[in-house]
Amino acid sequence: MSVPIVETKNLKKYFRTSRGDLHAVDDIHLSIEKGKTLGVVGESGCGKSTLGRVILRLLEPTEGEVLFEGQDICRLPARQMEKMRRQLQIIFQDPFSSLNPRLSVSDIIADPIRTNKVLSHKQEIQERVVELMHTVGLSDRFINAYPHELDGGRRQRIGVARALALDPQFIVCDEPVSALDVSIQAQILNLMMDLQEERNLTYLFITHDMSVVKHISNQIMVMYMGQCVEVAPTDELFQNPIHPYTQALLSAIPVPKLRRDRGKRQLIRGEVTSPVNPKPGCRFAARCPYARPDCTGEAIPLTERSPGHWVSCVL
Amino acid sequence: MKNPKVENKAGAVAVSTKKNSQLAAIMKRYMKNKLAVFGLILFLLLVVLAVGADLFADYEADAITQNMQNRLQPPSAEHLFGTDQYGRDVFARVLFGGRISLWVGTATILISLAGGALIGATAGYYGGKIDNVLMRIMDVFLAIPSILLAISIVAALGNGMMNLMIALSVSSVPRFARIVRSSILTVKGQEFIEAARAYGCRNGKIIVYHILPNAIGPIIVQATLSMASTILMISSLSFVGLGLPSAIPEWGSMLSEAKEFMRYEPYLITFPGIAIVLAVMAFNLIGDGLRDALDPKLRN
Amino acid sequence: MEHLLEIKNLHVVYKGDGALVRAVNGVDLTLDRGETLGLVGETGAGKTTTALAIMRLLPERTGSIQEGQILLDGNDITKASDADMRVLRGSLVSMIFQDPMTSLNPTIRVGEQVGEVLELHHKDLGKEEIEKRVDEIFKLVGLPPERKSEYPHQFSGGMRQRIVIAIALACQPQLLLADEPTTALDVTIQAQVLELMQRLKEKLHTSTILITHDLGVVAETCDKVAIMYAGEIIEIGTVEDIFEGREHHPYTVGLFGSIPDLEKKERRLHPIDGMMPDPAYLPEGCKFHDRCPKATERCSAQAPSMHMWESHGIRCHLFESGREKTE
Repeated sequence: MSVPIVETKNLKKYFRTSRGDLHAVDDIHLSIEKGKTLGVVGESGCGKSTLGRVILRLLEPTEGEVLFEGQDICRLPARQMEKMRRQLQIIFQDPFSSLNPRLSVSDIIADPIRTNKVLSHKQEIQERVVELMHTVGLSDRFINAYPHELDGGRRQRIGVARALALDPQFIVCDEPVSALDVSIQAQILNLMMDLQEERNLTYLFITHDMSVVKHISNQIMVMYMGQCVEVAPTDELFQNPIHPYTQALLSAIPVPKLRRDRGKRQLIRGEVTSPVNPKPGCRFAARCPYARPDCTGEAIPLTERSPGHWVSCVL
Repeated sequence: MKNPKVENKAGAVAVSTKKNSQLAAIMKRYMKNKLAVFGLILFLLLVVLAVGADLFADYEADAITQNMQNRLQPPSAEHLFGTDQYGRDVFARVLFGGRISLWVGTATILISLAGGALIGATAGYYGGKIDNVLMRIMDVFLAIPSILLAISIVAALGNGMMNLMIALSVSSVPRFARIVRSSILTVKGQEFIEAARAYGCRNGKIIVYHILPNAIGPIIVQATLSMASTILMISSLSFVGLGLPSAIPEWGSMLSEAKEFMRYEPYLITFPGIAIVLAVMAFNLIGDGLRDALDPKLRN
Repeated sequence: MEHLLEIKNLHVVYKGDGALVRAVNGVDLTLDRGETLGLVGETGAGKTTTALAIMRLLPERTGSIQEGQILLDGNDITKASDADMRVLRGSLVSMIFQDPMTSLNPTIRVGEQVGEVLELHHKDLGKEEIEKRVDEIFKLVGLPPERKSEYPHQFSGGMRQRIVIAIALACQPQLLLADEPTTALDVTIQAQVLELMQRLKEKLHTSTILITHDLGVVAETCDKVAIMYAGEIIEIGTVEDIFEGREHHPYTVGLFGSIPDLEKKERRLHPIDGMMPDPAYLPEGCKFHDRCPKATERCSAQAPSMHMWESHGIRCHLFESGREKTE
């Protein structure tokens, strides 16, 4: 097994609110090997986007470490962090708010290059921008266009080009296809997988869509209210989901196939609440059909059920 | 990619090839608004008259030098707007007065815009304690009616062009600070700001390059509208004798001096009055027009 | 038997900034009592516009029905007066919108919002009677009646969508138009809401048009499916026709190819290249021809018509002389 390129240890991010501490990310350990994709799934408010931002140090963690090639980036001084940022990039969900509406396509893609002084000649920068546009499948006739003149798919390609501009090794993809129509979504997914192969990129892929995450990930982590409830290689997770929440999540996906038993699924009751000052123990217990008295009271550690398959459940 | 030809075929969208298409679109929307165009024409006319005042009259001879033989002449071919109680040509004084109003107004707006943008941007971008301290200070200034604030500053510093500008700027900085701050707050939360941070943009550049251009619309509108109120303030201060020395032609002080003759020589008060009204109206119309033209939601 | 809803050759246009946007271009559709029809398509395909036309809620200044008939219970509502429409809306046809956050009034208690619909349509009901009915409706959609005096912000997303459904069903309309009712919800909540809609449909016998881009949701809930592209229905049929039939419109094939399969392992997806044409500048001939892998000369010149076999119809030249010729 190769060495992980990105690792987190004991990572926590709490937000102070008027009602107490919101445990957005609570004690997350993860590691991603170079060239692989870790999918992070969960429902809205489970902390997956916060996790992505803490890993990039766009938010400072409350506790814990984020290791990039063995180096804790949370302890890097500002200067070195600026250099480190070239390696770590992000692609966003919303193709509208993720691009500066006042900048032309060429300025959007060139800004990371100029900011980090990778190239200095105007001509060189321009050539690099065109090259990046071609890489992501955009015609260079859009080079002087503004974001509002383009459709969602093209805009998302610009977002990808901007993330690639500094030749990063690791990209956090925060729901990059959720706002797109299926056919455009598939185009972008194909693009991202091609890029990964060509450049040996490492992805942390955040999404709520189980079929997308299955398609793109090598390994999947399921989050619930700030915690990791199950993590496993993709096929293992889909064939043998152990945590009741994972099971419910998988059974809730509407599959585009006719099923004889349609409409009869395992439904879970209730909805997610926000983890403000959560009690120790399983946070899913209140909705879990198999809840027992020992689910609450003390923290439930992740245990390895089969190689690489970790679950946090008393069952 | 698999099929690059599609990229050239299927996209039947109109895309700008020129770089300044956004500016052009804003201009186009602005030009559709007849009242706004009228305001712009009025403004240009005022600028031409004020800048080219020397072509129509001589500053020393017509506007400053007293000529008691000619006092209180009604409008005629020689003195279009008549003469005042010191025999000075009212037309010339209105023209040169426009210079003062436009110059002091513009300078004041630029100073208060710079100050307001700095304070508002700092408060909005950093938030938290910095925001609280800065905005509470601004609130104190806002709590005092701006004319009163300006009067007390001029009273403390003394008359004069420079002091007038300081007084007017101080009293309009808080409004700019507030508007810049709120524009920044709406832009700050967007993902492209996070993207910029992710590729190592420093705070200063983020504010100047990424945030301010997106917040510029409301700021420009506020600037034009403030221009109108500043011209009124200059006149008001001069009217109560706290603006410029009375020899210098200024619309407000002209009104002030003319009020004694209102009954028998109404033209004395009419022409500077009309000048003020036209200037204020021009800026208000431009401001409204810009607000609509800059708002992408009101595109059609 | 007479159809509950019959749309004939519906054309809807929007007049914007100079350009004429052809949002719906000749839609034919029938829906019987108790049936659920899935209206599928990508953004801009004209799904929502079709629904708004049925509600007669097209934006007044810009949108208009240019041609065609919408027969609701036998009456052509394109000719109905505004006053008549106000009576029909709510009692005969009602609509659920995508976003439960913005379709409820944040300043009115949820119970009153449900009660308001009842008051409007049943002027003879007394106050207590209405309260009783509101309680019943709350129970029906799985909400505790005790919470009816709370405000929308006190409810979670899924609960809010239940309230929206409660309002839509308060007067037991015969036709329900649901515009992406679960898109804004998380999967587990989506499953709950879909299950609720399914249960209500069986109980109240409401016909539903479910507008969605999610073929999974369609497979689970619908009886019939219509796939829209650039303002036209390009394929229509029963769920069996669409999900298990062998012949499909090339666009439908691309749509299915875009969805990652949960059961198969495939490295690449097979989407359609390019994107939907701008409805202000629709291409000549078949509107899909410039993206279609099977397009011929003819497709760019002549618009295909709908070719039907029993319940299944495809709008494509390939199927002109029957199904066999395709492969």
